[in-house]
Amino acid sequence: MTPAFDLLDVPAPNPLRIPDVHERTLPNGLRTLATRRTSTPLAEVCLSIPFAHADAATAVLLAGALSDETRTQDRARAMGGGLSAAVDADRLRIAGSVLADQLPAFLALLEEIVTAPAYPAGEFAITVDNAVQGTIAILASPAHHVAEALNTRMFGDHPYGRPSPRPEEFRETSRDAVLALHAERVVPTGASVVLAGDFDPAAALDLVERTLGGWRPGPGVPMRRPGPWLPGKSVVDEPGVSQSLLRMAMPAPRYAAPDYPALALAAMVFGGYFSSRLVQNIREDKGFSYSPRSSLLHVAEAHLTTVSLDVVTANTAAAVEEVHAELTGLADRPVTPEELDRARRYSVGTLRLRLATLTGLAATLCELDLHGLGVSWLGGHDARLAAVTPDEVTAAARRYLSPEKAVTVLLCDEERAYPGSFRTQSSL
Amino acid sequence: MTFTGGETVFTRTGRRRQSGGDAVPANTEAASAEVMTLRRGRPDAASVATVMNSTLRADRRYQLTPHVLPNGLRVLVAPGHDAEVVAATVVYDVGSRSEPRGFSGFAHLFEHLMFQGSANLPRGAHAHYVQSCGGVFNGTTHLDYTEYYQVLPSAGVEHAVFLEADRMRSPSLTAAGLANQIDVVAEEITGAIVSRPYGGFPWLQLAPLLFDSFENSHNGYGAIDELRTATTDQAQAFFERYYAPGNAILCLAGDVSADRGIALAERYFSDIPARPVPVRPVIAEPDLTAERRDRFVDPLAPLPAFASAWRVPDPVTDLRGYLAYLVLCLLLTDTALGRLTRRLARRDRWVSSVDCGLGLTGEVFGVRDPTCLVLTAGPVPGGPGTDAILKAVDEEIERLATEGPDPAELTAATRTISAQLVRMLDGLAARARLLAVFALQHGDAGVINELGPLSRAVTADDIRTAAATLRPERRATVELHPGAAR
Repeated sequence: MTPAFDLLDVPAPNPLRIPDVHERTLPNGLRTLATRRTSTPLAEVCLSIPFAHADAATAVLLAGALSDETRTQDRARAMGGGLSAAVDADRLRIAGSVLADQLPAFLALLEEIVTAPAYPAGEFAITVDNAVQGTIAILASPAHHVAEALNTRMFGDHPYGRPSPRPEEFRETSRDAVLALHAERVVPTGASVVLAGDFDPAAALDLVERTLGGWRPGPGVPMRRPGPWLPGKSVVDEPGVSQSLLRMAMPAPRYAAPDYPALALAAMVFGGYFSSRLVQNIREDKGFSYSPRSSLLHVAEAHLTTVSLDVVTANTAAAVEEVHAELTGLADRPVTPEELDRARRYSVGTLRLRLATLTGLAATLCELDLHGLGVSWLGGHDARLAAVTPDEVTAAARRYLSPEKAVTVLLCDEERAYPGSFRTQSSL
Repeated sequence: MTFTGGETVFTRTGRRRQSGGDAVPANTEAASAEVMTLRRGRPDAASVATVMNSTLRADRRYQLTPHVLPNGLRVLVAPGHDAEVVAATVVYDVGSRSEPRGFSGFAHLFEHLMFQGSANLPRGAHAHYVQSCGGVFNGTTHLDYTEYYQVLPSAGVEHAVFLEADRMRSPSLTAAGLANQIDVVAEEITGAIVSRPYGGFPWLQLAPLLFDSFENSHNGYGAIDELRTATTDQAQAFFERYYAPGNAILCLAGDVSADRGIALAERYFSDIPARPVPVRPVIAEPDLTAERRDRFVDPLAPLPAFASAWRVPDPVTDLRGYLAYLVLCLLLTDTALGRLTRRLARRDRWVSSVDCGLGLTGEVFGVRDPTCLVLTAGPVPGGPGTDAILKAVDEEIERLATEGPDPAELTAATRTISAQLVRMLDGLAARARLLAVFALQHGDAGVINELGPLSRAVTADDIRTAAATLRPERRATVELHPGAAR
């Protein structure tokens, strides 16, 4: 009945079409990248400014005040667009999406924001209150508790390890502190702006140079390196929670490292996608968890493989054992050629998917630039993965994915998840 | 494999989130960043003229080729060759509002079972083949439909079509697969609802307040205990009834030609026998005539919230009227434009957030009548509270109903909707889903090409008319009391 079809003959995608990216570094230090994509009449703009070691509460308020400002939002909306600002330990990002015809007006708005910010006094109290209310809300979330515990455990007093600013820190931060931080750190030095959309990229670079060329440079502040990695395990005991949250992290190589492709494939086979060992075991075989997963995380001075699993209290101990078994299993049960082939095909294909939308294209260019990689890195992507052998994957797994290397944090109701003293015998 | 409201134009989280200083988010949730909007109906002469006179580049038109197989399966091909990527989506005309009494959550559970193997495919093979082609897949259950999609490099399109045909022909509905997926769904419900502050709010609380019939008011996730009693016979009967080819649409969008798309559909779907198409349940019910109020305690929530809902026009028979409410949402609570945002969140500081959106689950397109506009607010603790806030809401709505919006305000709102639309439709998964859903619910996927022009054709009069219907006596309001307030 079923029409004949050879499912096993899985086709490979065509060679990647590398986006044509125009690049220019302005005399004031601002790196500018522009690429054309005509699929939709929009322009995406992402300005990324180094913010290492900025005071966290002040930085959050600075970003909040920039996005909240009524006059800014009015102008962005008139262009059919929006503007947002967000900050993490590494960067301040000011991003916008507007109808492509409105790109000149949007860049003019961006220039005003960075060079002559208003931070209206009448609006600052609202920004503080929003930060306070938002913090109260996220502090109620067990997922946030476990993330903070993991970050602190990994990075201690380094900015990456610092918990989110608390409400009182926001209340104690003045508008003057925000203005001072802006004056000192919102500078083109080390910053980059990525533009993607339906416009001529060369003309867009000229436009950026005309608009932002007068933005004055300032000092560069590099992120300090985190201290030595100290593996270990800990429990965040929250009596009464119905779900346990397991989070693990292991150091990974940088994007550009020679063994990065092998590690990326090892992590994929382990827990990076639905066909991975972790998902097939924990979800499809045992039914323990809805979305166990592993992913790679890169910030300026930290590169990690992370593992994440939410599981009801009763199945916690068993699920933790399975995660442990699958991690050690990468060395004991070496990755098969079939597993490697599927992981490689998935990585090759999903890169094309990511570049297929305007927002995905812009985000990918930003991420590459952040890590000092040019668009040529994309061009070598498929070939780098193709060169990896099963032995190299196993070697990378041994080196980077061993549970002994991990920082592990489990948030759970400890009494109920581990009745008696069984936890001392568990792999956790 | 999620229960979802699909796309949201407006956030419906009830709370602004900020994640400052969160250098290394250990929980790297892959948030779907799709934005969406709505609109349909034949443009009238005046609105077409407005659009044609505009020089604004704000739309993209998609070429559509519809086709029907003898077994009743509707096929739609929407070629677009911007990237070598294709979406293959099947939408079935069954959602949680189709569930009969006693079967709460069955549409969603069944969606999980469609990934457990089929005639020519062992369990797990669907994922293996899609991912071997370099693609992604998922299934999502909605109030009025269930969707399955693959997005993959275009070389893999034939695999995707084969896989969807195989499970439409005969999914493996085994006891082992059922038991496993009940566990997985139970975990999903625990994570999304039971153990999450504001989980399911306001949908699960507003539905039984705004509506009376079982179909409209019940919890589409279902209760874990009830789901545990599900049998393979019930699953087989559900499949026979709702998964007939005549009850489905296959949409291929992206890097595939119309000829090849239709040829693939014919090759792999034609031999699936036709079955009777189920009659959709009648879910119409009368509007409220007196205000309804309810309250509940969320033991995990640290801050109060409330949500109000009013019925809106039928999106299918009165798309133009419905779209006026979408614009109205922006005029009321857009972060930049919203009158309520400016007054209540910024000037008076009575709320920390206020949001309006269409659809109980935040799904603007893809819901049938009866549906609603939902306003969600987070009253500031120690502030004047729900009743005073609602009175202010009534005043601002009344002002829009009598004076209408300013021209600049209206232009900004409709331009913003246009931009959000083209941005959302740039994603192939969203484009294929909406094309299929419009074909299913509106009988015409071409609605997708009218959404931008029609939303920009909404007039100040349309807004006045829409605002005038948001009266207190037509409103249902539920208050969330924070059990974890400190």
